[in-house]
Amino acid sequence: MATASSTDTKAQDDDALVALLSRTADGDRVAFAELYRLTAGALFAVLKRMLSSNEAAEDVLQDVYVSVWLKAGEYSEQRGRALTWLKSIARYRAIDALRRLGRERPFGDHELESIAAAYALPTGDERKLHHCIDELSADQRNSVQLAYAGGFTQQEIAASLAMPLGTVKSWIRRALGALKRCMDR
Amino acid sequence: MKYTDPTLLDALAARYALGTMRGRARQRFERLMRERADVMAQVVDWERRLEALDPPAGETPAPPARVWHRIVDRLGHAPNDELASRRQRQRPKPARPSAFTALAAGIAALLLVSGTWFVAQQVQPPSEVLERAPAYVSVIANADGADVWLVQVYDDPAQLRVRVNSAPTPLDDRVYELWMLPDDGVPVSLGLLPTFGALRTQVSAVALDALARSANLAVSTEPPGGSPTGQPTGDVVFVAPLARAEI
Repeated sequence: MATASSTDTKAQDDDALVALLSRTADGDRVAFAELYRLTAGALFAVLKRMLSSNEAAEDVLQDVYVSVWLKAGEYSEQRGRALTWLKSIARYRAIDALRRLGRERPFGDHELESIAAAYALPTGDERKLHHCIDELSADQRNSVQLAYAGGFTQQEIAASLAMPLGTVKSWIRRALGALKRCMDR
Repeated sequence: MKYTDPTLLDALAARYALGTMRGRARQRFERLMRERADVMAQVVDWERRLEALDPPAGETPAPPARVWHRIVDRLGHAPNDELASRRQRQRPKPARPSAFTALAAGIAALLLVSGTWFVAQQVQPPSEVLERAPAYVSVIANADGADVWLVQVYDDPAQLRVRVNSAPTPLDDRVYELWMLPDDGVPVSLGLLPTFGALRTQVSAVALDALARSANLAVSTEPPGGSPTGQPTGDVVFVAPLARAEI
């Protein structure tokens, strides 16, 4: 089955990353360089969407890998897939950076476009959004994606969509509930 | 606040992982995660679930090379001391003073050294080669003027040596291949370039002949294993003049 085999490939790829992380924890610079080669592009994409400035994304990416070198030993399989762990470190660092730097502009079309572009698929593309996302309403999906991929606060999302804060909070809460039920099935 | 209500903890873990928890609440929650494995586990569960929100995996361009250079700089990783790094950061092992363990440690150290050299594709050259001057030298520098590769070719016996002076831009699923550009206009491969450490390898008579007719070397990016056609197929990312020793 197509889905099963792609999941297997994903698992194998992740096994390779786990091995590289473990060698990195032992001070193996070659493994660290390989880990960077295999994962930096994905993390950079995450950071560019959240920080909407290449310069800020590069700075945070640097911090992320410096801290991966120092903390690779903290990774274990209880922390989830290796790539998920790395992406989470990047996302949390970006959130810290947003708080430290503030957004250059409070919120703008540019950011919205960059989030929308990340999710836009070329026509005829076989890649799909996760089926659990298809089950969300458009409002739920937009607000939760702005928070997750854009690093926006609920206040920022409410302001940009011109909706009451309480409404946005409830969209996000329901989206999370639906996501949990669907993903844990 | 007492963090005992599982529903509340789950909601907080979700907000933490999503990123909508901010400021001091976020810092407090991070402390709690460090102290409580069950809270950490809930966050990890949410990180997994939220991956459904990732945009469909597509091409992710590598970040600019300067990011990697800065990381290496900040960590104080000089490009040419892989061995020293491994020795330094070996985890200390409990010492048991006996001739046998000393011998075992010696063998382990040898294995470690030979293992690293194998990774770096180094072949120990005949000792007399070490004393001779190279017949050809080329320094391949990047756009910032930093030397990336030092290429030296020795003749009799013919040997190619490449040393990585500063790490080249990491490539996603591509390798760097070195080419001679002889006067007949048909590039001839000199093999794949290392991205760290050094490489020593034999050079064929055909390659030496092409080298004698080349004024420049070039580097292209190729699929893993090198160009499938015997000619450069990817972008030519460097061209550098080839200097020959005056005899």
